[in-house]
Formats: sequence, C-alpha cells, structure tokens
Amino acid sequence: MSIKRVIFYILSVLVCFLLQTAVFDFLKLADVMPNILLILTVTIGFIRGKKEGLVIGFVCGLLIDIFSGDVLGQYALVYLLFGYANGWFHTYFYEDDILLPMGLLAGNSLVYSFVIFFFFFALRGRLHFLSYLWKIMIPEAVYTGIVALVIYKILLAIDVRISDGEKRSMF
Amino acid sequence: MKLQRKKMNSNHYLAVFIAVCVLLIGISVFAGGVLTPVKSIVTTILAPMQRGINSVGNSVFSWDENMKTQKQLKEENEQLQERLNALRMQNRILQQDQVELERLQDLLKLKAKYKKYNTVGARVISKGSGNWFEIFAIDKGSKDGIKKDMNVIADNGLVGIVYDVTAHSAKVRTIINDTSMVSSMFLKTKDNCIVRGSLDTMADGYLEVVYIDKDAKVKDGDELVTSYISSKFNEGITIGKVTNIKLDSTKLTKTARVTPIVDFKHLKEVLVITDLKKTESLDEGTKE
Repeated sequence: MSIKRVIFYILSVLVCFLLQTAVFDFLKLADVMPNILLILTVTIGFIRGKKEGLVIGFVCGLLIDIFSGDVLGQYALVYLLFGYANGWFHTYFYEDDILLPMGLLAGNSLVYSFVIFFFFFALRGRLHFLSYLWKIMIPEAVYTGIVALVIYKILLAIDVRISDGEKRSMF
Repeated sequence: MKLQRKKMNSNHYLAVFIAVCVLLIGISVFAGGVLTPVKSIVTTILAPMQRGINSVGNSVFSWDENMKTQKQLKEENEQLQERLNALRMQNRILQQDQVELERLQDLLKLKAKYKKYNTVGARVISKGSGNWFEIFAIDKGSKDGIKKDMNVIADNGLVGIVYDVTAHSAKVRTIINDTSMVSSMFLKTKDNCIVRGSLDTMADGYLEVVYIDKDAKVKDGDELVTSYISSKFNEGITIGKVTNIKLDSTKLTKTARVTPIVDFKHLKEVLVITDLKKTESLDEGTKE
C-alpha cells in the first residue's frame, strides 16, 4: 500500500466524518441525512475488497463510538462487518457499472437501519417498527442511494488514479 | 516480511478486528474510565476541525439570509420595534410585581423560590451521526467549568443535559433523545409527571407525557416545567405546553402530549446552567 493511498484513506474518513456531524444542513432533505460514513465503508469494501473495507469500517465506527457512544466498539463492530460483507461483492466490481453499487449502497443503508433498530430500539421495547420504517429507514435508504452515487463516483475516480500510480511504480 | 503478510488473509483480519472490538466493548462496559483519555485526545483533535467546517458551512448555507432586501429588513425592524415597546411596557409592570413579590415574601419569610441560575453560553459544534439519536457537542468543556449533569437550555426552554465532558468540548443529550426521561411538573398545580423522549413522536412535533395523576386538575395549554423532585434537572425550567390530555387505558394515570418550546432543528447556540442540582441520593439505582 502506497503512502498516497494511506493519506487518501485518512483524508476521506476525516472529511466524511466532519460532513456527517456538521451542524449546518449539509445535504439534508426531508429531515433525513444520508449516512456518509456508511457510504464510504461500503464503497471501499466494494472497490478494494474485504480487508480494506474492514479496516475503514472499523475506523469510521470507532470515530462514531468516540463521538457519540458510551460504549466504545459497538459501532466499530457494526461498521467493520459491513465493510467486510461488502468485500464479497468485490468479485462483481466493474468500473463502469453503476446499478450494482447504487443498489448495494441503498440496500446496505436499509440493513444498517434494521440492525440499529433491532439493537438500540427493539431491545428497549420501542416497537413502533412501521413508523420508524416510514419516517427514517426508507427515506434514509433512498436518499443514501442517490447521494452515494456522487460520493461513489468521486471515490472511484481518486482510487483509479492512485491505482494507476501504484502500477507504474512497480516497474 | 512480504511473504508473511500475504499469509494474513481477510479472515484473519476479521478475527483480529472483531477481537479488538469485543475487547473495547468489554473495557468500556466494565471499566469505562480507562478509555476517557483516549476519547478526549481524539475529541481534542477533531473539535477544532468541526468548529472550522461549521463556520465555513454556516456562511455558505446561510447565504439566503444575506439576500433579504432592504425593504424586508425595514419592515422587520419596524415590527420588532413595536414588539420591543410592548415588551418594555410589560417588563416594567413585571418589575413592579417583582418588588411587590419580594416585599410579600419578606413578610412571609419565604426565600425566593425561583432563583436565577448562572449560565455560560456555548456554540453547537457537531451533532450525532445519523438520524436516530439526538445528541450534539458544544465548544465548552471542563476548562470552561462545564461538568457532567449540567442542564442545557436555549430559547428559555430545556434542551438537555451534559453527559460527557472533555477539556474543550462537551456532549449533550437532548430531551427528545429516545433514551431520555425527564421528571417534570405542571407549573400551576405542581402535579408530577415524566416527559419521555421519543423520535417516533417528535417527528410529529410532540413528546409523550406519562404518569400524570388521574385526579390532577390539569388542562390543555398548561405549562410544563422541570420538577422539584428531579435528581438532575434544576427546578422550574420550561419544557413546553401540554395538549391532548387523556386518561390512560389502565385508568390509573393520565397521559398527554407536550410541544417543546425549543426548536431542536435549528440549535446553534445554547446556554449551560452551571449550577448543579443538589440532591440527597435516596435511591442509587434510579437513573434519569
């Protein structure tokens, strides 16, 4: 792994985290925020494979933990599993394909919402599933899918440039 | 070295990282204090960045405010002047009442019931990620005298409570957070009740009020404030106006809805009350 790539990862995690937690209404639509950190984790997992998705997911989750949770490690675990799971789809990764990553990102957002709902709400006896589904989960999934398209394209473009550089330096 | 690295496949990575996570969860559940320095270091590094991106973002995203025409501003100014005059008048009357109140209280040897709380202003620098939990961070921390369990207000209404403090920032859990329970009372009748935070109901603009005594003489439009029996919230901070009072299905208590007077969608500056509520701890197990 080249230094460029490491810097790229650190910067993208930082920028995504800052945008995610920013107070101003960045990208907010109909009162939902797209989950940018999840988009980053899934995208890296998808275009780079399991290992890197896993590490990025872990770092993203850990940042969320440090920032918002009382228990360190819970979000880190969820995010690293997401990064790892999306590494399975790495085999189907083609640079020009856009439908699979979009569907993947929206689907991931939905699964993520289910996980959060189950562990943080249903286990505490808040069981209004349908209302959460309509008000948070589905809008978030749809919106994440749309925003993901842009972020995915940007990340992919940078990744391709870095990969080209790495290949050239090998010879 | 390179050969060894290749032998570490993704499954090993997975196992290692899951182990790390489980370890972290274990440590923070059983010995939470150990990780506080790590947390505060990361927060100290990130807080200035959050402050920076917010000031940039706010100036970019509030451009529509700059676009207001002179005419609009003049109209607004006139309206505000009128309001100001009306409020001045009201204030004078209230001041007179205050003098009278003090005199009467002196006569009755009652101390002032609602003392003024000392406050510190703070700016919101970031909010929780995602749409699920309503928490945010402010740019004042232990160096500015902020302590855990201090109350946070804005627009003269209760916002939430400080639950975690680092040197230069603090985290606030709002009353609309799903895990929040605030012991409160009706200002007029002093009937106690609980305001339960919920994302579900807040989407429709209200919070649930539960455990109101079934004989309580309360009506729609009554003001709800924090209770004198609350263990963490100072007494008499406004929460909101009550509507929709109903008898519970169990016929033992009443439930109602309260509309918070704080605009939780547009919180940018808040006040932290630096007076901590003093309570005798009667029951260690209860938590708010």
